[in-house]
Amino acid sequence: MDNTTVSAPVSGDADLVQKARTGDLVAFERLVRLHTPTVYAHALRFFDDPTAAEDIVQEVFIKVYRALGDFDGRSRFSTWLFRVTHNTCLDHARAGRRRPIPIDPLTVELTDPDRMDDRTALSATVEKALRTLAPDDREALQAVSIFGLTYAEAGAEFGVPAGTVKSRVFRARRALASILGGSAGGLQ
Amino acid sequence: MNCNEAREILSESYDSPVDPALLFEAHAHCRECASCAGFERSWQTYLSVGLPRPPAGLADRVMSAVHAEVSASAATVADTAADGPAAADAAGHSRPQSDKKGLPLLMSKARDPRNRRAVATWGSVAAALLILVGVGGFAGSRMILGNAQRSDSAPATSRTYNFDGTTEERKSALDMRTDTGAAAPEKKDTGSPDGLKSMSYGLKDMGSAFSSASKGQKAKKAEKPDLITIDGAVYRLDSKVNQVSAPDLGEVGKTRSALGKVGPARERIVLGTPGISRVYIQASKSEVFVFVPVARMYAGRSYVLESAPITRFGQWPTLPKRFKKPTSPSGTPTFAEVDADALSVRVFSESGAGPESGIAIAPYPPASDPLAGCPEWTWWAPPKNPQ
Repeated sequence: MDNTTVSAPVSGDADLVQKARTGDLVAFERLVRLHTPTVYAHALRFFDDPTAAEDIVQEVFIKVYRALGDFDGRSRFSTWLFRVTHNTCLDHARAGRRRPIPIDPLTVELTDPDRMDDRTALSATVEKALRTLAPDDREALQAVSIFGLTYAEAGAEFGVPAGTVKSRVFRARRALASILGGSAGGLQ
Repeated sequence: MNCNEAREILSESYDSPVDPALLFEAHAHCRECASCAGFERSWQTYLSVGLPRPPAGLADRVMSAVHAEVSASAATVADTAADGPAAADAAGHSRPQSDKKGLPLLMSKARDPRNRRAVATWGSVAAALLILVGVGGFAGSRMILGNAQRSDSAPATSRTYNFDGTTEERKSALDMRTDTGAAAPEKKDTGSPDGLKSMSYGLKDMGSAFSSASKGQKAKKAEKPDLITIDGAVYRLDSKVNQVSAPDLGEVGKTRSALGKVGPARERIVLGTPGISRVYIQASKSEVFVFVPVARMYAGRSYVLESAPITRFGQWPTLPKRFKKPTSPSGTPTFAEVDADALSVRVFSESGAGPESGIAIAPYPPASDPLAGCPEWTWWAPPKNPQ
């Protein structure tokens, strides 16, 4: 799988949102291009279905565009985008249009250590590993690590305390480390 | 500091600032502990792998859908009265279809005299895309591909069009797969009517015109695409399915093509459904080919590829017959170079005309182009007006 780098929160979002709110489609297009990889990654990891992920991306940005006029800027754009993305995925799953496909951790084929420099193989392993995570843990990790939400922001989105998000993220990282072979040993 | 404490601090440090003294202690622990060093290394591995890359042109398809949204809003400005709290709606979940409070931004945009011209312009372009495949003439609603990969919200039953003119009511494959007690989903409130959504599918190959490849670079070993023409518009083979089920699926045109077979081209019925740019051709008794328009973006506008008839897969498109083939790399005498797009693909317009009426692309566009490696000049026209 070809990959982009992990995206970070974009400092220029606020300006672009402000312009887009006035009808500047170029600014909105810039937002779309900046955030498409993030939304796509989230949806892909949610459904493990590239087609579903494409649909989600489109639906998310249409929703965002429709609602830009009412986005008051009190929260960051990335926080709002995560909320729209997350809820859209849930909508699809609840409606039965898409179904998240969990993977049994025991069935994950780990990358041969000799191939760990093979980016394609490594990437595939990482994606598989992500899908083995408990959904709550994976969602928390996604919110924090690719949408750039703080624990508090993510907690508000999930309706749980910030400390719970922190714990979920930690559990996710610990599980990833185990699957990726970076932490095979036990705790001291 | 034990392993768990060290890892918790490391984990938190990836997301937010932590006490430097604690972080120092955690790193010191990692130097002594191979297991925790592995924990740290695994996160670096995760970061280095990055995000899965979206398909080429996805952002362009999104923008095309947005343009269509603008169009839809422009068309309904007159009879839409209320703005509503759409931000909460967008962040929330699906709204009933009958709720008309969906387009506050668009409404306000359209009402704003400063924006009316832009709205009208985008409206005409995007609305034209919606009927690009000539799907006017019949009404319909949903489409489900029986065994296709793509799916949308599905009615409980659907009609299978058998291509021989017969139809049958059946529960869709999708329904069977997902019928685990969940209610049949209502039509989803994406803000995008079916046509809008599918139109963007139709633009699957668009947008990759933006390329960093050098001008005029010949694509190496360009794969000849599987194309057909319908009323001069070019469609690319998108997928193959076993059947197509949909209410109101009907004939939207004809094409003359051998498809991928040896032998003479023959006339084939093209099926589609309203507002959906994907079209279908029965290739054999058990196989239906799904086609999508070939399109691209330039300067914020959508353009669709037009060509003289293409009669079999593997044929490159050529200029429509009304154009004389240029005799020089500069496009003369037929075309004049306008400029290059943001990523250096040279864009030409018809001599004496602007890009509003269409654009030409020189032979051998780069690898990321919707028509990478095409050895012919190609002509890309704005979508036809919906009338």
